[in-house]
Parts: sequence; C-alpha cells; structure tokens
Amino acid sequence: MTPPPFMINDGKNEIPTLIQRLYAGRKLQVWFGRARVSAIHGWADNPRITLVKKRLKQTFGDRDLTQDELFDVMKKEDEFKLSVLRDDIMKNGLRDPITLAFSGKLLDGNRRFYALKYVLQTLPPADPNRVDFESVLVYVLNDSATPEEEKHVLVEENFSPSLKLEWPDYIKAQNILEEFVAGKNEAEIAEKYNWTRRKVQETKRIGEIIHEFETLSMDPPNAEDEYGGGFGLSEIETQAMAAKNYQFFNEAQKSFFKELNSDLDFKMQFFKWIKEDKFKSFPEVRIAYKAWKDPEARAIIVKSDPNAAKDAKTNLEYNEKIIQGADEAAGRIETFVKFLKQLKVERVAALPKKTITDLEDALKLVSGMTKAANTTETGNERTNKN
Amino acid sequence: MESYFSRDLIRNSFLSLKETAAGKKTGTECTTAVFLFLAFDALLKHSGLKEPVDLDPVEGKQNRAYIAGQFSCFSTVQYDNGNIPWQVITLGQVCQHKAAAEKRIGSNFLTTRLKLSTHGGEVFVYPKRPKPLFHMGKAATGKAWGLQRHPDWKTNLPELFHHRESRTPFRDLAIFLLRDKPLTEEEKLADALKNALSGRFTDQLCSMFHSRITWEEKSWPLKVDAYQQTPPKAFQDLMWVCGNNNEPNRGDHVTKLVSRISYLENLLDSNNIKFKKELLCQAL
Repeated sequence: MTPPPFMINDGKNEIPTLIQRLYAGRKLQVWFGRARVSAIHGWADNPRITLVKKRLKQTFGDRDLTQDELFDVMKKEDEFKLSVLRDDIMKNGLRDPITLAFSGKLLDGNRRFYALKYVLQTLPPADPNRVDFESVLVYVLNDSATPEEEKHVLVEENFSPSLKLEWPDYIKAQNILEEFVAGKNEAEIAEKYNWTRRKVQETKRIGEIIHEFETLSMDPPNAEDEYGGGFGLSEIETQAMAAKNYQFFNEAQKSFFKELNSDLDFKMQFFKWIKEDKFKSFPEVRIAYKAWKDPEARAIIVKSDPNAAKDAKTNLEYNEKIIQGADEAAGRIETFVKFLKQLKVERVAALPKKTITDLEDALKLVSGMTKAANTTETGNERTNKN
Repeated sequence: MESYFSRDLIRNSFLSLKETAAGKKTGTECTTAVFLFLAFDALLKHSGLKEPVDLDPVEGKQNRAYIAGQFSCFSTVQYDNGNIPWQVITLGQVCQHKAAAEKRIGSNFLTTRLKLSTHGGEVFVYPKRPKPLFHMGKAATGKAWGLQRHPDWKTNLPELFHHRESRTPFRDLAIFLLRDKPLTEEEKLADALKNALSGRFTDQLCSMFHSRITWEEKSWPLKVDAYQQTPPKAFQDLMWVCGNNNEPNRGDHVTKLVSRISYLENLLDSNNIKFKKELLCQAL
C-alpha cells in the first residue's frame, strides 16, 4: 500500500506508517506521519464557516472562496480566534494531529491548519523556528476508505464533545492568585494564560474572596474571638463548598467587592451566609450588602428561614419602589399605623433607643410639614378671596 | 527584652502599600487624610480632649501644633542631615520635599480647608473622596473651627486603602507607623501591634486596628521574620524604595499642584460653582 503523495517520505527519518485507529467503535486504517503545510488545502465547505461565507457572498458574489480569501476570512473574523490559537501554537506547538482524507480533503483541524499558516506568515523568513511549523503531524485515511467512512470520521471528530475538560473555575482562580502572590503582575499573568487583563483582575478578586472564606471556614470556633472564630471545617469540606459557590463569589466580586473589604462585620456575615446556603440565586447574592445596611431587610435576611434572602430582596424592592400617588402613600402609612397599634408594651420596650428616637423625629417632621402645608393653603385661600 | 520589627518586614509592608494604577488619582489625597486622621486621634489620646476639638488659630493653637507635629512624624522618614527631608507623600513611595510636613499640613488643611468650613451653615466633610473621615464647621461640630471624627469613620477608613496593592493594609500601615519603635514580642503579631499602638492612639482606633489586623493575619500570614533585636533603621538608605529612578524634586511639584488644586476646588465649592472633579484630578 502506498501513502498519499502529500505526506513527507524521505525513506529515513520521516516514513508514513499505516496504523489502525478507532473512530466511534469503528476500526479504520490510517497513515500516520508528517505533511508539509504548503501541500494541504483548507476546507472551503467546513460548516463552521458557512454563516460567514453567506455574509461574504454580498461582497464576493456567488462563487467559491479561494484559499487566500478563506485564510483572510479566518484571520479577520473574531469568532475563529485565530490569533489566539496562533499564539498558543507558537508557544506550545500543535497539540493534536490533523485528520485528512486520502484525497487531501481536511476532515478535522481546519482552524488549526489556518492558525499554522498564520504562524508561518508571522515568523520572519530567517527565523530558525520556522522549520518546526512547516510540517505537521497528520492522520490520513487509507485510500480504501469509503465516502461513508470519511463522513463517519468527519462527524466523530467535529461533533462529539471533547473529553478534555477545562479546569474548574475554582482551580483557575487559585492558580491566578498564586501567580500574584509569587510576585507576577497583571500583564505578565494575562500574557501567560492568554486572558484579558480584566479577566485576570476579576479572577484575582474572586480568588481573594475565596481565600478569605477558606480561612474562616477552616479556622476552629473560638468563643473568645470577636466573631466567634471560624466554622471548623476540614480542608476538603471547605474546598468543596468554595467550588460549589464559585459563581456566588463571582457575583459578590461584581456587586460589592469594595464593601466586602471595607466592612469586616459584613464580610464575616456574608461568609456565614454562604456556609448556611442562604442564597438560591444571583439576584439574592446581589442584594446582600444592601440588605445588611438596611435595618428592616437585615432583620429578615438573618433569620434561619430558607427563604430569608428571597424575602429580604422582596422587602428591599418594595421599599425602593417610588410612591407614585397620594393613595399609595396613604395606604402604606395606614399599614404602618396598623402595625404600630398592634405592638405590645413589652415589644416597644425592647426596641433600641435609636429606633424610638428615629420614629419620634419622623413624626415631628411629618407634623411640621403638615402644619406648613396648612398655613400655605390658608394663605392661598385668602389671596384667592382677595 | 525590647525588640523591633525587622527591616525586611518594614520595607515589604511599606512597598505593598503602593497604589495600583487605579489609585494614582487619589493616592496623595488619601495618604494625607489617613495621616491627618491618625494625627488627630493621637491628639485625642495625648490630650484627653473630647470631640469636637477646637482648632481655632488662637484658642486651639496647641492642638494645631500637636496635629502638625504628629503628621510630620508619620510622613517624614529621613531628615537627610538637615537638608531637604524625605517624606511620604503617598504611601509606598518616598520623595524629597522642600516644605516640611508641618508646613504642608498647615497650609493644605489647617488653613485652607478648615478655614473654608468656618464660613456658611453647611456640614463640611474631609476628605470628599472616596469617603470622609472628618466632620468640620459649625453646623456639624457646633464650633467654627471644630473638627471631629465622622460617625462612619470605622467603615470609611478602609475605603481609603481600596486602591492599594496590599491585601493587609492595616497591618502594613501599623508596621510603618511603628518603624524604629521598640516593642514587646507577642505570639500574635496583631497583639504586639495593638500594644505598641495603644501608647499613641485612642482605644477605639486601636480596637478597630486590632480587629482588622487579626483577620488580615489569619488570612495572609507573614512570609518574613517579624522581629529583630537591633533598631532596623529601615529608611536609613532609600535605594530599596527609590531605585535608580529617584526624582528628588518631583514631590515638590506634586504637592504644590495638589495644594493648588485643593485651593481651587474649595474656592469653587464655597461659591457653589459646579465643576467636574475628575478633570482636575487627572492633572495628578
């Protein structure tokens, strides 16, 4: 059997080998070896670029794109992130071989192929590293493969989910924080991980919150401590809890990072709420600081009721609602008056002094405003009569 | 036996207080406000006075002098044999500055800002950004030249460190304040710091610092030895903080500019003329 002509075969170091590979349970014979990048053609009918091609028809007309035009499209369209892949290949080489039909048709690795071309376009002709990118590891189906088998490979390689799982966000955040602690700066980390600086900054902030949560979680309870010490959980329990709540920590970072660092009492309380599974949704986390600062909502959210955060959110929303008309204001005051009249002496006696003073001040203010309004009305009436 | 904080600890702590890129606009203003707040607290501790404190140029002359002296003590790190002193204009950096720290705070705050608050019946606060630490003026304090701590200073003070690189700003600041001061070693650094601070500051401030430092200590333990037996003289040479890009006169220009901007802002404020503060800040 003869390997395809586009594969490198120098009879010594580079000799294509015929091997058997499994594609979704089906055994197929493939050639494994290297091919020159210049001998491979991009796949113009790749479904990944269908939508872009449709859009470009307005410019190019109803014809097939040339290889150069395809290359340009892949470079310019943000969705292909070709420069990101190019940079990765320049740093790490091509991680996986590409797959071709015996005819040279690309079955898998179209984006990698164009990224490789991009690498060669980026490197100056005299760069000694060019040679590493001028050829690429390939699998090529044997010429005995049927069109149906080609299709089978195509589907398997492009549609089946990759089994390579990304690291969980929690682990990534820990990694980023370690980089900072080791003295790297934002720009260096962004370059290393190919992230934007904003993403590095946000991940660092989440990492810091989680780190402090873990400190409290693993700290033993201590009655002498101002905050009663920590939760006394093991490292494994703590990390599992932190990973599970990662997105809530992210929400905290977005909504009240500054406040979390300014108000130590709130920070301790927020961590306790996380441990108690207080929050069921992002909006509930989002209002945590507001609820903490609002006496009524705070009294609600600290309850052990499983719906406490939801109730506090509802309460805040109700109180923030702008009272549109006099009827609504009157209704709300009536409800409040009813509530006041229901209070028993012992409950009033148990109220903080400040609450009573605030209530008295509010009543004085309303009373003063009423008198002022009446005086104005009487004055207006007199003026009208005159 | 008397100990001192180690030279490495003092230097690392000071450098970590450097502002981030986002903090460049307000770094100088925040540092002045923090030092002033500490100086005022030191006055309360030293004199036993109750708030508000009268800083009238005649009646409160001694109070003003004490605050200016404390401010200078915090911000001057080296006197350079009688030449131009090296000062901390923004935490994490030092520079040479012709005007002594006492003079700077005298003209920037005790004269310009405080004087403005003696006019008009409104409540004056300082600093205006990011969060106030003081109430000033008759409406707020009952005295024309009155000064008192803002009721929310405990939660506002941490906001002044928000744009600093440090994750442990209270520990780092306390270590900087206690540079070259003899102290007693304690198992917990927070306790050693509290004991050392309690001689200079009020119980409220020490207690607030202790809570914060205890937590910072748990979360971000030290990575260098805390103590040494000889005076560390951490700021005796300044190469570690200035490097080779030392610009001795830059501080002079910055402070003059800050002072001028402060004056102009106050002038606009007092005449109720609205303006975009950000634009003026960018000049820094």
